Amino acid sequence: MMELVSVGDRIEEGSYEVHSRFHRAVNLTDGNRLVSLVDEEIGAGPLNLVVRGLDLSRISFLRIDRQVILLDGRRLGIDPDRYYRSGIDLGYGRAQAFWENLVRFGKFLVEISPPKSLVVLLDERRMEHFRPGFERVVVERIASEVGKVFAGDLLGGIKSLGGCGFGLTPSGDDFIAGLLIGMNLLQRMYGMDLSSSLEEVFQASRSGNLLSDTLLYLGKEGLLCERMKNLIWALFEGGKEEIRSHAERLLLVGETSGADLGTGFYLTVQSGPWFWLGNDRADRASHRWAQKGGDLWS
Amino acid sequence: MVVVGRIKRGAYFDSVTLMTVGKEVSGMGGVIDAAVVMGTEENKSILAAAGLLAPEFEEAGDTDLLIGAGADKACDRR
Repeated sequence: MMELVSVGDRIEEGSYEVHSRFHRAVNLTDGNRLVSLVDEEIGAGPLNLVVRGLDLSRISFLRIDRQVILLDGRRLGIDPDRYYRSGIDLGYGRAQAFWENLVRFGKFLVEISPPKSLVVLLDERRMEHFRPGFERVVVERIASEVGKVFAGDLLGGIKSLGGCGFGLTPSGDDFIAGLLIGMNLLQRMYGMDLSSSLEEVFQASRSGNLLSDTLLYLGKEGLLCERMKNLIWALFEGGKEEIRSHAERLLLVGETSGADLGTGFYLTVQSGPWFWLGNDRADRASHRWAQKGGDLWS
Repeated sequence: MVVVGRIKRGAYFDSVTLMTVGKEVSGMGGVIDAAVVMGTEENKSILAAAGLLAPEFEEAGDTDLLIGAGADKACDRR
């Protein structure tokens, strides 16, 4: 029996036709926007409809109204309790653990990520997994552009990083999506206003690829899939085992997409508020955070 | 090196499949280097730097899949 498990909070009403079909997901579009019909293994997301007992290979049409979903003519009522909320939630109590856990996350990325991912940016020894020739040229190009980003040429690096690399959503796009999520998290943690930079990064990296553009848009808006949201929760609230468990779940996205996104997120958050605000403003922001009970700097 | 290129338009394959195909093409007899990537401007620039930019790739767009291989003999064009 078919059952609606979760409805993403950014799904909009409309009629959608199949854009692309995979083993555990069917992407549908109305020409501009994307909705993903997924199984429970993929899980919730801002644009995900998680349906149990559905043969994804047969779906061809989706209509979403205010309270009802029509899947190839079959009606599914939307229970308001099934809405998945994708925004970053910082109502966590153990902020002082965050930086320690971020280091743990970085170590797990190096230990357990797939070999041909951008985790090579964190551990140069991983270069041995890339074949001489095209694969190494890709990695060297991406490393060069990421270097530009964190040397201060944000948009110069982003422009060349977007659309760069392996995969259906190129590795560079996954990295930038992680960077945008990291910027959003820092923004929320420190009460910073990075909205202009977020918009500039998004505009510099978007392309004609609806899948990539959607991923980048969600990153810009700080809208997270369940796996990323759980990882951020674990960074604040969890210990070593929770970090590892949620990192493993993230790394299961695509062949290397989860690892590439995780690398972008890690490097961005690790750079801290100083990189994005400059020293004086960042010091004031961190002071505000400490006053709020964040205790990150004690 | 002889470079051969194929474009798959409007066909979406998951990343695992793309990686597998890339590995298989690279392992074919006579193939020196290979790439399976989306046809973005950045990827075309990297293909050029790696000597794998087939002439037909110039017209490809962001949503096209490019399969390029460089082989050591003309008979490997098949």
